[in-house]
Amino acid sequence: MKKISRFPIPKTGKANEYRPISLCHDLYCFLNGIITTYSSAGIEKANILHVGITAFRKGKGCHSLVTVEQSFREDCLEGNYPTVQLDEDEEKFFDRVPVAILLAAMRVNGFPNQGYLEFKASAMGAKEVEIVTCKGVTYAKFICGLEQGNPDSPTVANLVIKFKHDVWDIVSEEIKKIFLRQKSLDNEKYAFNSIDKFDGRVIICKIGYCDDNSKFIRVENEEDLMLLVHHYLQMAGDLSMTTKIGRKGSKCVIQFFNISAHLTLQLAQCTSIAWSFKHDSPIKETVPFLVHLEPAELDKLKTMIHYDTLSFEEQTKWDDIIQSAPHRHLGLLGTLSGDTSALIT
Amino acid sequence: MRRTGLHGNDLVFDDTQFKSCSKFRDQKLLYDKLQKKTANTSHTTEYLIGDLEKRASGLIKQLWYAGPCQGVDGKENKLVHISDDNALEIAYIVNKFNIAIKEIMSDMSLISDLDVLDSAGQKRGRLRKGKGFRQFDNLPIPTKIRYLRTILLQNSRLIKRASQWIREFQFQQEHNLQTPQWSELIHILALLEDSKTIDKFSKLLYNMAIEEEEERIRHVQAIIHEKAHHANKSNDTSAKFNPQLEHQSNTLPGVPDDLEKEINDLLNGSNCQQFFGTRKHQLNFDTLLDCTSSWKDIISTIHSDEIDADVPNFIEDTLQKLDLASSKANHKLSQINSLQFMYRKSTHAYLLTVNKIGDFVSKVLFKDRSAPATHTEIWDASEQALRQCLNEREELIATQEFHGHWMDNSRATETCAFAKVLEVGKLGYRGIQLSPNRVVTLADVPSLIHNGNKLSLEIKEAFVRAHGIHIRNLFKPPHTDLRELFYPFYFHDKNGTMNEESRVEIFFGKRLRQYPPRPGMTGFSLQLLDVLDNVGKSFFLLSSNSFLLCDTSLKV
Repeated sequence: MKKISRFPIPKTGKANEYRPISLCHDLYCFLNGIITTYSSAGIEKANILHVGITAFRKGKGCHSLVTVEQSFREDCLEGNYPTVQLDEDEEKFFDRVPVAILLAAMRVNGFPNQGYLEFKASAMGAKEVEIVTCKGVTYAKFICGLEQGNPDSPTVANLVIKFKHDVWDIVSEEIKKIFLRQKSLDNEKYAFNSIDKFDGRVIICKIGYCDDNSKFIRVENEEDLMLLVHHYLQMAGDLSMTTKIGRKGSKCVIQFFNISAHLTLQLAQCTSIAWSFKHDSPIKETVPFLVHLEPAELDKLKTMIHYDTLSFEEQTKWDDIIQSAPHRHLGLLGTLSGDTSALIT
Repeated sequence: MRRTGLHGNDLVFDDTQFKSCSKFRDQKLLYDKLQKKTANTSHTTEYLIGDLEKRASGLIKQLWYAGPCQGVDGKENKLVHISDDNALEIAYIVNKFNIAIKEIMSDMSLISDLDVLDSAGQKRGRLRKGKGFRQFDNLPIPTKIRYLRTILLQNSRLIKRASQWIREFQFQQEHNLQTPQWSELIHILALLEDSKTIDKFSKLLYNMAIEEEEERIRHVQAIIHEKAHHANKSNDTSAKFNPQLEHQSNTLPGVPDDLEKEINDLLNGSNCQQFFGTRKHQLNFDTLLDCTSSWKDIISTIHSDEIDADVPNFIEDTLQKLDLASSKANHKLSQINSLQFMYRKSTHAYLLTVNKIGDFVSKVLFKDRSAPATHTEIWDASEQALRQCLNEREELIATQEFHGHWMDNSRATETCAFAKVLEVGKLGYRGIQLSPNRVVTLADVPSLIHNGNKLSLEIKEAFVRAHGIHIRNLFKPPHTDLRELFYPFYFHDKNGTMNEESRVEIFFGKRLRQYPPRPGMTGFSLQLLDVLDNVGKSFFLLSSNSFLLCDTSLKV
């Protein structure tokens, strides 16, 4: 029953990258299905997971993320406060999570040592995997990770990803001081409030779907913003090093909104660095960033860097970093309101 | 009495409501007219195919370069505008296809065999309940073409085989070798249309059979004489009744037992049924006997030398006939192939008119699905670098290493500083032990990272800093386990029954009944578990696979 057959399907346009779909035994899946119905119901009842975690949960999905994203972008347009969106992506999330972390996630979130956890631990023991290819079948041992095809794995994956959301909730005393400084933001003007609070209010400032998670930050000063970005990046890196779950550097993007031309120039000159665990050792990775500038700030920046006199290659480099506002996502809202008003009249 | 509406006014019908209906009616009339026109005209198949090619390619060009059309509100509604002319053109092409197929069938003298194909349609109709059987004329064009193609292909193959066999036969006649198999001869008998040739061949073959088994034939002769004249025994001493051989030839007198078997197998076999279906008269073994007058007459002419004298000339004649037949079949095959090609073109035009762009693209730019690929790069220990695999064996090793690496833990002795998996038993891991109070120092780095000693101080310090108090707190277990996350099932000690019988029934009874057994499934199906009682289920599950391991001391 613990035998699994895997089909490494190659990803298009990417060399040596596969999507390993695994076929499990019928009875194994059946029993796992029963157990997941109970365990996931228990997780929902106990209210363990954050509101922002939306993957494989009842009544939630990617559609619930769209409204959050849209309201966030709308707020960026309405108020001119500097804002940041940190996008994070785990590397081979399902296949690479160690068993110790899987079981630890269950235990930390209140699962007793017996029962589900014991079952999961016994099921996670070394399994035989036959890797099916066009040239024949080879055999390997499945020691860590979750099978892509087991009904139980999404619920456990949600518990693991909760570590990341918990890490973003950590507030040191320095960060506390930054939050206390933000006074003018403490009103209900915005549809989507993305300031971190620690007074017990429920605020969606982080969303995630399985291994793709993002964190929103908004403050009054640009200095405070940079401090917070540094803090959250560091936290994500620390978690990667302790749990040994790799971060995909190329997909982890920092998106800046409503910042000045001066700061963008500074960002372009320095390199942002984050830690992550890869190939049995921690490494430093440069994090790509993207700036959404307002038209006036864009013009200012172009005059500062003498954009017209630059060569074509340098111009394309700048174009990759900068995007001019208004943002494309907000076009929809404006047209909708216009249409409805026309209908009423 | 006049009927009035709700508000006392007369009901007035809006003609625009039925616009689509009237349009459809007009189009249908036009189609009927066209069908009549095309039915009356008669052309050769080559002319028809040429005409079709022109029309279909012209239509595609027209649609392809027309560009997107504009709708009523100035928005781009559809890629291609469906005009009446285009629709009529397609209808015309479809009619032409039908005519071309009929022409080809009449050339191959298959037109009278439509009843055979219709009987096949009847069978299909019976199988599909609720759907009446479809005649050959009412079948869609691609299926028609497919039928014809299979028939023609089989014919051409058989003709080839027949000509080959006859050449072998010729060679064996010259060199006095053994005769080939009987099954091949039956194919040739059925292939040749003339009844005379069938007669001749059958006689010839029968002669050869007799040469091989003279004794058996004499025995058969004796039986015939016995049965016909009732003890009017002939004086010929050679034809004596042999009781040992009687059981071998009960059904058909004069035919060897093995031959009869082979013939019957051939006639009942799937290959031959399709083949005989193409003939004008559906051939059975009885009809074959009728064709060759009767076996009795053949027996009477056993010793005649007429056939032996004509054999070489006769074989040459048959070879010529076969060559002609093969050339004819090949020509018709090429025609059918071109028709199929043209039909594909016209379907593309149709898809473009109906705005099914996805279907069109999938037909034009289709992709073959390939099997999961192997990993192609392997680690060369001598050169300390990756290199391309040289053969399949190396590729398999590379895939094993690559995917095995992803599924394996990190090579360090400890996977996580704060969590440790308890040792592995027979059934798997035994649990988890958390130690959030552990303080990680630089001395712990080699055990936590593979080759940790070789790392730079900066990385080491960063690693130690990462295991700070903030993240350490994340691994703290709760003071009390959550009530909602207790496992609901557990076994009583004494009885061996589960705690909540009703729940067990819900999940192991009702759900199992829902699972249908799969067609390709080996072993047992899940429905089998439903037959067992709860104790049996739990025993089975526990004994075989360690599932539902629960502590008896736990209580919900």
